[in-house]
Amino acid sequence: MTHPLSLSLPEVIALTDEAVIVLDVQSHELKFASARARDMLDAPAEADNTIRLTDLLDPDDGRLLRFLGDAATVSSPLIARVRRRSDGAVLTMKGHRVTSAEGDPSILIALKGNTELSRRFRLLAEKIAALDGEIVQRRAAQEQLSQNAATLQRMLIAVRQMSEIDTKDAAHLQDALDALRIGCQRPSAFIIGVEAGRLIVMATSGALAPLFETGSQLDVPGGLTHLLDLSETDCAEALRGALLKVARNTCDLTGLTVWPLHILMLPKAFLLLEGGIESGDEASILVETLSSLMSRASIEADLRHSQKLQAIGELTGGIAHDFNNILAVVLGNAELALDHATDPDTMPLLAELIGDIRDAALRGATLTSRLLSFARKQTLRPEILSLNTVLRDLAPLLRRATGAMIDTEIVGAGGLWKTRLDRGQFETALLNLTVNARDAMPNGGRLTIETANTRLDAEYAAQHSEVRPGQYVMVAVSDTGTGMSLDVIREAFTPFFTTKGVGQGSGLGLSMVFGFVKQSGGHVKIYSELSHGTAVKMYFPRELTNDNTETDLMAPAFGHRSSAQGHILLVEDDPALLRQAERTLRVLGYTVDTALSGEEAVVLLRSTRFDILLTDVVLPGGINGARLAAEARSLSPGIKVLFMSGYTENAIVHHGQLDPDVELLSKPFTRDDLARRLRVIAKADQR
Amino acid sequence: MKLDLEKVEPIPGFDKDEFMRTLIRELAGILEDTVGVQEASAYVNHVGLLIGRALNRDYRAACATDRLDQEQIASALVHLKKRIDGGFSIEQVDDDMIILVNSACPFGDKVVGRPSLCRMTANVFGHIAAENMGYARVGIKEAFARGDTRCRVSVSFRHLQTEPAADETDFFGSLA
Ligand SMILES: Nc1ncnc2c1ncn2[C@@H]1O[C@H](COP(=O)(O)OP(=O)(O)OP(=O)(O)O)[C@@H](O)[C@H]1O
Ligand SMILES: [Mg+2]
Repeated sequence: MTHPLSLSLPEVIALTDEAVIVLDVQSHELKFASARARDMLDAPAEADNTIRLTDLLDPDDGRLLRFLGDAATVSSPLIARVRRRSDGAVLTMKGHRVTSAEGDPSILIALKGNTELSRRFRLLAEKIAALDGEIVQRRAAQEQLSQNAATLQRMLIAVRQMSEIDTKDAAHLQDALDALRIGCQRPSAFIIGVEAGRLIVMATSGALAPLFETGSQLDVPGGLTHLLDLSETDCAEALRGALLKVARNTCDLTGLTVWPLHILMLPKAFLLLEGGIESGDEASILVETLSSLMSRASIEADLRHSQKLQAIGELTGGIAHDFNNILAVVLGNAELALDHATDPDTMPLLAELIGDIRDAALRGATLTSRLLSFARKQTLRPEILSLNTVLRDLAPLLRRATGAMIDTEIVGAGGLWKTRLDRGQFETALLNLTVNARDAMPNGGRLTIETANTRLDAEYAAQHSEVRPGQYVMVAVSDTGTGMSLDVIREAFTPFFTTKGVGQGSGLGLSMVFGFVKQSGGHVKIYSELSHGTAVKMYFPRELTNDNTETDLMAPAFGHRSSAQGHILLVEDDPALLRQAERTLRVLGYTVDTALSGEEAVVLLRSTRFDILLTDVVLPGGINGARLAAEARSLSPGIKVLFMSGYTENAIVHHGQLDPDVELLSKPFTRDDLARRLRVIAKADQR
Repeated sequence: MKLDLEKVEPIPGFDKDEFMRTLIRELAGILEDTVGVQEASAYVNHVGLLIGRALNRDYRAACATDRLDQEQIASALVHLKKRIDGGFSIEQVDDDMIILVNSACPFGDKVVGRPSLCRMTANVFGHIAAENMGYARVGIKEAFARGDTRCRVSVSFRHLQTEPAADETDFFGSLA
């Protein structure tokens, strides 16, 4: 196409319908604009010639002018995107310098709508962007994945370490915190919690640890309760302030975050981690592990405590057993001596002295009875009772015990469930609690004894060893006295623990209550606040069998010397006790044969006919009380059997409760006790 | 078996310069394939012009003048090409014209069939020349991109009133 072909622009345009304009280089006035170009530019009618391109397109921060300036300097096309002024639509503009035949420069411009070309560009750009995005995403995902795997591994190690910690170890909390801190990669960590009512630093780990002493007390007004009410940031702020006060040196604690630790489901302590929460998830798993470790520690400590009590109980039970036998001798002999001493011609002084002996022995007997209760080896005679009735009957005694200074109120709940327990022991327990309350209110106060139906739920049971969830009858003894510190509460059930002066308290009252309640299948709990008062709550399992028998009527007391009749075989391995019992039986009017062992007794049973067999439960040799009784019944049908025992862990008595058809007399016993029981037995139809 | 890539000869992969050239070459290829050579050239023109403007500012500052003369333009162009790639040499310099030839394209052998990249050279040269001389006509007489065995660029300053040929572009100084 080297022909010098001279075509006018309008001719070409008329054919191609291109959007073409020709501009003045300086003024950017339109010298020519094709119909399509006018259309595209939203330009006014053709007649108007003074229009400038710059009026039709957006100046775009001077970019339009720069482009036109550049296009005016070059004969090959430049390209740019421009915007229509009327509506902001995007156009593609190509332009370059042309020179007219007369030598005047102009700018020749071709316009394209946002059609094929820009669409393809857009597609291209979109594709590239999508690819870019995909790459970034994949890289991030991969990074996250390997990071997650590493985090998971770290946490797994930490959780395993924490689960293997022995809570008996005094440093167990420290070890757990170390594992946790390393597991979530924090520079420092603290555990803050309550011990004996004080908010203290329980453990520290990491870089800041040397600055703090474990056990140092933190001064936060209102203590734990107040902290738990605060928002997370306020709580962190309060703890930070308190920590700074006990730090050995100045330090920066600004990056601490606080996590409450739930011990047995209640918020009881705080974990402080330095270094924010980039990944809350991982920390919260470790926090939960720490919480459950602390819960485990608390349960195990509880269990150890109750095991300790049980061990002491067993020891106590053994001592009480021996002690009872001794007392039985003292008591019996004192009573016999008393008989002679009250003869008119004997010195009254002797009577007085011997009376003292008996009183002392009785006090001793009460003491061992309480020991036995604690040891859960008390012989219980459970009956189905309404505790409201028992309380009503007991009210006068309780009021007498508290005295005039104390305002005593007894509130029985309506519709109270029945429960099955030993009435006498219950009365003793209640008296012990009442006396404790009285002692705690030397200047008077209020004593409330109330009953209620309650449920102990699974959650409560989980928090207390030896508690089964279910329905219970509750008896609460509350006072407005001195209250007990946490240390005292912890030890209160331990035998011989007392804060009372010498001769004032033996430290066995609550031990008795504890043993009795436990032996009855119940639960006891002390709530107390120093200088406000104390409430001791006893829970006894609800009795569901529909047995309406109320308390047995007390058998009438027997006279001093009754002329009983009958032949008794007395079997007892302790010779002193045997002698004393023999004498007592004779005094009561019985004919008595004695044996020191089961074998001896069997020999006698073969030759002689007895009305009553009175035997110790525990006998040396192959024949114990239970076997002997069986033997006696077969050799001598119709024989009545009465067991004696100071200690009841044996074949006849299950779980401290008598077999329903067995008669048992607890040692030591008074002559009246013995006489009454023998009378009752003689009358009864025994199987 | 562990391979030390640092010790392998020749070293695999790209250095920074090779990397950038390859990148531009590939981008130009995609551009040409997507929008066509004509449109792609218009884009490259624009880029070349912008680069030429920046370089012109640089060389003027270096020569401490506000207008380069013919000699200075010639040495600037050669210097520039030397910095980009050592292959350019001056075939001819006189009052009317500078002719430069190159035995290797800065963009390497992949430039074959990618003529839009030649617009870069044309615009950088043309802009610098025209800004200082008022006018320049740049012709790319031979080009690797078009399958020639070398590259030959002419820059003439005499303003002939003829239309530029297909392989030529006129540049006018903006200060004129
Ligand atoms: N209601 C109470 N208020 C305040 N402290 C109490 C209360 N009940 C018990 N305590 C504390 O618990 C301790 C143990 O009580 P516990 O009944 O076992 O023994 P004691 O009262 O000291 O002696 P004992 O009951 O054998 O005469 C008491 O010494 C007392 O410090
Ligand atoms: Mg007491």
